[in-house]
Amino acid sequence: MTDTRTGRQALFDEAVDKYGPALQRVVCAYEAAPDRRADVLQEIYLALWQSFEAFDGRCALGTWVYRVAHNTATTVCIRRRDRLRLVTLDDIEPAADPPSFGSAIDDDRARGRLLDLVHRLKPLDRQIVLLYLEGLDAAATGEIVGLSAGNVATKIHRIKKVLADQFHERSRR
Amino acid sequence: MSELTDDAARRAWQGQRSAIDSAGIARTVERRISERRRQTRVFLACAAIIVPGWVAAFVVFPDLRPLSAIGLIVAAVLGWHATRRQHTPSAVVSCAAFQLAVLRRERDFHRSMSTWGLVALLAGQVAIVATLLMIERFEKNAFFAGSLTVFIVTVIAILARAFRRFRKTLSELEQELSALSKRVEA
Repeated sequence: MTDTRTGRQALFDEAVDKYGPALQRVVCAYEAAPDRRADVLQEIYLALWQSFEAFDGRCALGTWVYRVAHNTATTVCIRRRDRLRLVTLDDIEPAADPPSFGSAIDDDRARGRLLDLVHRLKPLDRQIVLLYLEGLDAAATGEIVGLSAGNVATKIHRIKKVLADQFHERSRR
Repeated sequence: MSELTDDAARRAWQGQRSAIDSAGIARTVERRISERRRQTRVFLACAAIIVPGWVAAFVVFPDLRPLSAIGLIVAAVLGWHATRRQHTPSAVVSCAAFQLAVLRRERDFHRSMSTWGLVALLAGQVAIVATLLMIERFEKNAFFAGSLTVFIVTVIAILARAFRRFRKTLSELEQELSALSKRVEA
């Protein structure tokens, strides 16, 4: 247990320092309205600060931070009536005019499409896609979302297929 | 054009620019905690004003006692349900476990509101009508009868609509829970 205020503050500072940009991306993936994103991020930081009182080091700091962030952001999703319109990865159809990654302009457009895609997903699929995009492997993702590594690996395979159907990469010369 | 590689999608995703001041928000956490404490104090202060007022009405107006008593029971039942719904499961569990817990909490809330919550509300409305009919301070004329009829019809319509809404959401939540449980067990 992190029973001293200094230890808790140190953990919080480390989490903000290491995972701050990733947490901002989590917020963008859950809250489509830019003017409400700061509120969601504040909720996540508050939840993190409160959770560090119980941090016992039994799991990695990253696992802890991602769990708290995704779970806090999920409540935003679950409260909404339009959550019933969210779909699973299996329901995503190939895009008619896939944008490309590869240059700054392309990446901006493709990122917009990627965010649209993520916003349409049910929470569990959204979490697996986001953790994949953050570069986590199947085992780490499984520990965060609570599915077996094999189950997550199958999902990642599906994610790669969906992304390949939705986007292209411009050849670099 | 070529096939999409893992790196391209990840690089683009991680290259997002955000206008949120992350460090600034982190510094406001303590202020947010203070705000929540202040909200709790305001809530308790409101309760400290309302409850003695209620008790005073109970003592001063004997003919309104049945209504006051039932009103207190209705407020307690609805308050208990609302408090249970506010309780958030621990955020440090896995995402699947967290979602299951939140969906179960929502299901339980809608299930109990569609039965006991509405029964309590209905009892409250019956008590209002009975009190209006029994006490002597209201003259029983045509206006009284018309107003009472409008009140009863409106209450029945609102409660019926609320019942349908609670049951529909309950059914949706049960489906979501069942689908998520299957995925977690797979």
